[in-house]
Amino acid sequence: MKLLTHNMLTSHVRGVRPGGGFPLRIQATEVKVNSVDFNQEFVARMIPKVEWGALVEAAESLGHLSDLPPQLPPEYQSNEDFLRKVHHVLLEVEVMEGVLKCPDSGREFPITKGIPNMLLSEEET
Amino acid sequence: MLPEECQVEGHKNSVVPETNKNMDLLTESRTFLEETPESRTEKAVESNNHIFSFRVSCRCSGAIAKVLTSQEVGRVLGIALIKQFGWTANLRNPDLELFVHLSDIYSVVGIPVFRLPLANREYIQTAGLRSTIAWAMASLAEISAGSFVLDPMCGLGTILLEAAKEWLNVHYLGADISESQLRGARENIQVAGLTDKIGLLKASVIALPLPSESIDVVISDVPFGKKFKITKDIKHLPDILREIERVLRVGGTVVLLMSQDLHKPMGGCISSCVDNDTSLNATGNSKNGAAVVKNLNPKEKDGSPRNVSSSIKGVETEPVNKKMSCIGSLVVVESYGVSLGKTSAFIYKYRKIPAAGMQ
Repeated sequence: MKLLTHNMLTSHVRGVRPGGGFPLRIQATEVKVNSVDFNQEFVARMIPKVEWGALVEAAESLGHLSDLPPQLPPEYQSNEDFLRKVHHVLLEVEVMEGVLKCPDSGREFPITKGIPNMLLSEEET
Repeated sequence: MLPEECQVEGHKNSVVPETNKNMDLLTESRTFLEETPESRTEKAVESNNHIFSFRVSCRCSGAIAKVLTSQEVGRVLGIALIKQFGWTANLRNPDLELFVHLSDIYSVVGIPVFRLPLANREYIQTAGLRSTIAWAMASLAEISAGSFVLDPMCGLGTILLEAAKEWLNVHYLGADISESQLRGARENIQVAGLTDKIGLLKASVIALPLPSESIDVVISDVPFGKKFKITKDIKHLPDILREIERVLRVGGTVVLLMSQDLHKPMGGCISSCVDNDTSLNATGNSKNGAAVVKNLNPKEKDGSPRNVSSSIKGVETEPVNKKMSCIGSLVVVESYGVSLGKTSAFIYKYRKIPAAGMQ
């Protein structure tokens, strides 16, 4: 699971407060860093869609903050150095094993071989 | 033009003329086949007696397929060609292959130019859905750079692979409830070298772990026939559509592949909506599943959306056709009938319009 994907995920357990299921806390037991070709346009286009605070928090929890600032800097589109860091965090850092924890309900979702299991039981939906 | 009696169809592919005379010729040409290509060429050059060989491949689909089989069509065509030109039938290695596809919409007569089918992809290791259909669906979906694209029932990931190869600078997400399908999808994605483009997660299409209005495009092949009983599919369809509607942003696009059986109740629903709304203009004869249903003109400004809050509780106890109205803000933009070999299906394209209260 890449942090770009993590940034989209929210807990959907029944009874979770509106918006309370995001962001999921990552407890990783295995993190892999892959080398991915840098695509400046893609990264620049993804940033407006990303919840910046959640990305920074997730990167920090994995020890891959990579000097990302807590606030999105102005005019980042032309800042290649910055975009490369975001690229690394969004696409190269991958959680292979661990759990995602709902910040509201505490429900844990296992991550196995890089794929988070977000399936709920019938009682949970 | 095809003779009148050839306008008939069956299910199987590949038809061969089978008259007695033909069988003799067939035997002859088989012996001929065993010679090396070189000697064959020489022979052709040396002698003007070379008998031109052919094969007819037929495919029939739609209502016409119920009247006659492709074998019968092939036999008629084969005999006609033999009589007309004195050609000989050769199944295994003919000089010429004639391909005939008869459907309710069109008749195609063609000569295959390539040895491999168009759907062949070197980057797809295990194919789920036929890749040409997957590509066609993606091309309808209006995928633009910077989008989030979701296939909530991704199976082996064929649609995502086709889309990710063609439409760049997009983040693709695939979800499925099946561990083995996801494993296959991951392998396909790795082989295709698209791991940085496509994320996977295990989740149910009726309970997606995504915020509302977070997705720009949803593309999916709604499973039918194989894994589930059709009746069960129909029961789930409103839930599937409701959840897709929830995660899709306003203005976003949905492209779904559905079987004829799944489509029928939907078609009924759409027609009933049309009855209630004069700004919509239904031109298709969706009932017989034959023609392409088009131009429902859903974007008319006064086409007030038949919106029912998707958060309504207790819909489970309501009859199926009531639940259908919950597609609310998803409006059909266009639909196309497609042939999947033995079965026919429909590609449906929807757009999410603003909910009534928000206009």
